[in-house]
Amino acid sequence: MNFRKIMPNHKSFFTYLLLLFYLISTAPNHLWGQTQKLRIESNFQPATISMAQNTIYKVIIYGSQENPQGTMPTVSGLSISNSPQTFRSASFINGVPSVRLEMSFQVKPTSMGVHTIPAWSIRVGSKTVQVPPTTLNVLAPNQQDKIRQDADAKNKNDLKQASFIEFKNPRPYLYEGETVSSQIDLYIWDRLPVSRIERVPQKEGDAFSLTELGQPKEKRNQVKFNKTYTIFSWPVGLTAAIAGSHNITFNTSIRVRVKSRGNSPFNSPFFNDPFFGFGREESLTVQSDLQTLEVRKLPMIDRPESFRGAIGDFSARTITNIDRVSLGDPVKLTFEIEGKGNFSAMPAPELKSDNNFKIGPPAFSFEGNELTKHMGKQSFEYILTPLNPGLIEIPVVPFSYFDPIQEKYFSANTSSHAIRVDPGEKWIDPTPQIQEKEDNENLVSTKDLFQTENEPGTWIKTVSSETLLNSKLFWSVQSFPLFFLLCLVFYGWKRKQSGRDAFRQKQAQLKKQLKDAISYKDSARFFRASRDRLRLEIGTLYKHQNPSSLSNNELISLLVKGGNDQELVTDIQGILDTSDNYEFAASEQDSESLDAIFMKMNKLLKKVK
Amino acid sequence: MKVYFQGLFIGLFLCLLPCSWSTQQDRLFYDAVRAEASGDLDLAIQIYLKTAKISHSSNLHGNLANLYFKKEQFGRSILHFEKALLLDPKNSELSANLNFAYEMANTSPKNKNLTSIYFSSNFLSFWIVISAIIFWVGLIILSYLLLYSTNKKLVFYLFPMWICLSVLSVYSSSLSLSEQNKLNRTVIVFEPDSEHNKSKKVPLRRFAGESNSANTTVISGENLLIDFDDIGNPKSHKVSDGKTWYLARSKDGRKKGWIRENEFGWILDP
Repeated sequence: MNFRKIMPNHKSFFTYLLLLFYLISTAPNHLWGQTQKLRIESNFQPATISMAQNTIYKVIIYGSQENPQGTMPTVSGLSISNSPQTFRSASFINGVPSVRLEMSFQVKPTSMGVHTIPAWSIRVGSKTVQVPPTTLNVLAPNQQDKIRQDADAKNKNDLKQASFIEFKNPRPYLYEGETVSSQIDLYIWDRLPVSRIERVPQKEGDAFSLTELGQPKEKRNQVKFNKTYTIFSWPVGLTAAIAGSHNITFNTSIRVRVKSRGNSPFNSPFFNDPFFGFGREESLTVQSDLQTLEVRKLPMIDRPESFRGAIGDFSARTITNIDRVSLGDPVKLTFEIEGKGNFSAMPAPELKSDNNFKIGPPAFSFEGNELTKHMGKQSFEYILTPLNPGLIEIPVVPFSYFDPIQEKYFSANTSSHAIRVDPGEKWIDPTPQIQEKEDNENLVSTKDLFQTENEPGTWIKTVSSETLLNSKLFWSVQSFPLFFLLCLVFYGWKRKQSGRDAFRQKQAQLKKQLKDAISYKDSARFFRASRDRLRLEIGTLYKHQNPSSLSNNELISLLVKGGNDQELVTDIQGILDTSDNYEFAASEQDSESLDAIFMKMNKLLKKVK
Repeated sequence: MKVYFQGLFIGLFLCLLPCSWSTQQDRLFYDAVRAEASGDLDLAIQIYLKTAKISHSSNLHGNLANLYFKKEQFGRSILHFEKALLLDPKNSELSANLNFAYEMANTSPKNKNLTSIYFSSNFLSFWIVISAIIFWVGLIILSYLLLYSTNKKLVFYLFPMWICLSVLSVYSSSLSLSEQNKLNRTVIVFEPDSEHNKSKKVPLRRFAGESNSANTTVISGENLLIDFDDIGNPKSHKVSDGKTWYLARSKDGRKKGWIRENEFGWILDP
């Protein structure tokens, strides 16, 4: 047997063995230690710090290693971390086993002075003990602290200047629903080893909506803060949605290559330098400064009825595709709005159908910057169907807008158009005409219409509506089926009363039993049903009060009395005897097939007089 | 013996009466045809109208409608074509003439879709007979099955089928009956008699009477429905000049007003 197969990893075996030894050897310590009396100490390490420094608040529990439970009091002027580091230890002190649990909290001072954490309760296992109070002395920052703070701020500023976002808005205020053309610039310092931009800048600020950001424009060697940058610019359309004063900011993340944490294998700075393709990549979040934009409400004074939310500076015109049409032919009316403004939020001007025109809903099209939809030409194409002939004026398209610069409403007046609508020719469905030609000109032409009849035809007294419902003959005729129905019901009812129906039902039932017995080759059942059937039919024929009570001899005597042939009587007797034999002496076997007996019995019963 | 001869004479008179009656309208009809052939259309119209007071035939109304058409009285022409078609519904020539007359009168003829054809008043008798047959045959078969047959399963299939067929046939009959009722109320507007009325439009007045202002106007040849009261008589009002006015409305119900008795003609004798 291979030893390795049994012990595949002898190292781990020895590890387990050592662990077992340790547990066995220290078990008394733990057990003894746990029985020690609980004692708690608390202190700051160090107990005196300057404002720029941090300290640690330590709580040491002697005599238990169980996780304590409790709530630390809040102390003004100190910021205490919620996630302490814990350390458990067990030892012999002067031959006495001891266990303890240390909890270390990070503390950062927020104000100078003497700060005391008061006594607070802690629950260890089933016991509640008090943590003693302790005091921290926070001094004013010294010169060294100030130097360090300045250095940190400089580093932070340098890092901020390494990459940042600038959001350029044309105005510090917008009107509710207004769209302005803005720009988001991402500055990346040339000396920052950026491998890629992880995502396009994201907006933070629910009061504004932004058009989709496409591919950025790249500008290199742009100098700012005495540094050379590459700028990535996204032109966007910014639309103000909610009135009020709202903040807006943008952020993105870029991937930068930084120096490796560990030393290179060759202990050379070259292999740690990210500029030489070494180092590691980290994600850096780039943020823009917080901007506050005022979103003003649109004025209600002098607001035209046709104003439907267009804000900007526009010019409008209408064009028709044709000046003369036939009645019913469509006319295309194009209403064009050109300029700068909120094209994406602009609804179509409403043109209602009137007595002269039936007007359908318009089709939209936009020519211009599809991304920002701020500058360009919006077209609304209406289809007008003239309803009356003559010289008809096309209705003027009502359109008003608000100019945010002049802060006024304007109505863009379009010139009116007149079109000539000819009555046109009456449309004739071509299909019947083709059909007519195919039908060998059978139909009467207009010339042949209105020919005089020389014979008077059949005379009638009046041209009036005499419906069948008013005809006595019709209602009289209904008496025939009614009479027939009544007779049918009466006869059926009488029949039910006489019991004939019951006989037929029993007969049908017995026939069914016979057929079932034949199909299952159940001779006993077959002969029992045969005898019952003979009793029923013969007894009923001779009007016996209770046919089922008839014996074989009584049945035969009835047949003989009825004057039936001797041969028929003998055959029926044979069937009855066979039935008895089956019932009382089941061992006797039948030589004839059941089906043949059934057929024979049917024939015999038909012959019975 | 005298009584016997008197009875025989009365019997012979009664037998020959229809023959003499028939001969009279025939004679008048032929007179009218001759007058028309001689070019005297007005006389022909007069004779035809006189004949129509005695009796009616499809050809009589057809000829009368043709004459009115030639005199460009399209309203009257339409009325008599409608009457002629009622007496001979399968006559395609009359139907073509009627459509042409409607077209000339600038009015729309009745819609001829499948529903209007098969549930028209012409089919009322057909649907009533069908309903009666379905009702009785179904009832008899079901009674037979219930009372005589041992197999009752068939009843469960036949009974719903019978109910459905009965409901459908009765519904069809009711549709035809409503069309029939509509036809009873239908009148055709004539051309206005007044020479001052050059618009050829007939006013429907707000109230019965010549001096009342018009609610709306209708054109000659247009079909109107006369309103009937609860007991089935037309809503009418006789004014001081002896003329009777009827309350009428267009088929779509949008036009309504009073119309004088000589400004329209009934398709069916009222």
